Amino acid sequence: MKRGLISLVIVIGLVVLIYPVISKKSPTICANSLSREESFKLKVENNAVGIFHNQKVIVPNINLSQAETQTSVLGTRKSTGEKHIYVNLTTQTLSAYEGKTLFMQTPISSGLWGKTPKGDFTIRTKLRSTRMSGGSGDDYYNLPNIPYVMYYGNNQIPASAGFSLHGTYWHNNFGHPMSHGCVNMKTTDVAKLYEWANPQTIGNITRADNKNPGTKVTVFDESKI
Amino acid sequence: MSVLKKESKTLFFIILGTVASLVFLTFQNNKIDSRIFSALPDFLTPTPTIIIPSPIKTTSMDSPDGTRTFTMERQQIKDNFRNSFFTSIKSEETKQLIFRKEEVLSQNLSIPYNTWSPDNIYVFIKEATPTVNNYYVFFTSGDSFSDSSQYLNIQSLFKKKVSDYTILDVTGWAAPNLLIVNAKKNQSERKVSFWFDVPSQSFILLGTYFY
Repeated sequence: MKRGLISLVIVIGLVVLIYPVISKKSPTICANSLSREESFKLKVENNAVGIFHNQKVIVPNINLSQAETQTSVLGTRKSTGEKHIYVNLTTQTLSAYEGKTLFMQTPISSGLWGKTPKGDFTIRTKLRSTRMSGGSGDDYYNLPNIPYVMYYGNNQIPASAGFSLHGTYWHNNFGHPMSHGCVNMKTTDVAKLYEWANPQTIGNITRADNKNPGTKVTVFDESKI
Repeated sequence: MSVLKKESKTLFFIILGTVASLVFLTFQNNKIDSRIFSALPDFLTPTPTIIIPSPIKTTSMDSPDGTRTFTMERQQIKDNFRNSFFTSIKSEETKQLIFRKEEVLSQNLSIPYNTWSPDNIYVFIKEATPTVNNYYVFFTSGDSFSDSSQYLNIQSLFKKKVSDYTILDVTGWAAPNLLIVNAKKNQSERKVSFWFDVPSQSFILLGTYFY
């Protein structure tokens, strides 16, 4: 009897100790935590259905042949200075400069359900279209044909973590946090930024290298300057 | 001799009379008769009014996919401002009138940045008044809602359906049918967000605040 009680107490104690470790959810660290691997591949899934907030989303079709015609040729553009993209998390705006010349200023949506990391980054990979998925429960999302994706990273947060600037077709609430960590942009705006930003676009997948380096991206919080 | 003298006298009087008559008639025709009009009060004096239409000021917002445009045309007509709202498809020449309203102040109605629903089915506009902001939702096709109304007034629907909260802002679309309504609990600083589901015209209280 005594031995049975002692065994029961030991079992309960073990369960109490082990359960929190087993049940701990892995934190959502990026915009596409479930699909980190697949989202680095070009994916066009026309006539597919997306899911956001557990609601079905109509996915716009993407015509890659149209994108190819916009591909720029290396060295044909006149550069007037270093390109730099600033993402202001306080004002929820993105400003893109070439030297001192403002190329674009537009509202964005940064992380609401997952944090958008602050710091200095560089665009590593540009994808014309891919699928992203992540979240769980009511927060689950699975979105094909995300257009004009620009993954960025630095020494602390590699581009493989999945943070990117990209187009958005499932919501229209720019100027307010609304993402899982990425920087959401209006598709018409991000299309222009994608063509402007380095590495200069070569086809539907462009990776930065020494010859074709990526544009710098600074993500900052105005209150902490 | 005396007959000749008599005839000359007669001819002189005829010529004198003719000249005098001509002078009198000429004077009568050319003189400005100020007796009548000078006595009239000023307000009866007809003054020509030339109406020059004021220029139309246009503001517009493209849909997120860039295929459509929502345009507001504002024109001053006398003391009022006429606001006309149109939707158009960029590949087509035609534009669809959605709504027209005249107002006294010039800056009341505006198109928010996030006006288009993600599927391009709806748009919303904002009307700022000294006491409260109104938000109206329209079909981009110009169609009416099921109750034959031209638009949905979110503010008045919110007052009818949700008690204890006051709308702070309507920011944009969380999904094709869902508008984000930020609100504050009355007699409290607690802020909450609702989804306004357009087809059902209902408000859904959320656990997340969309700041």
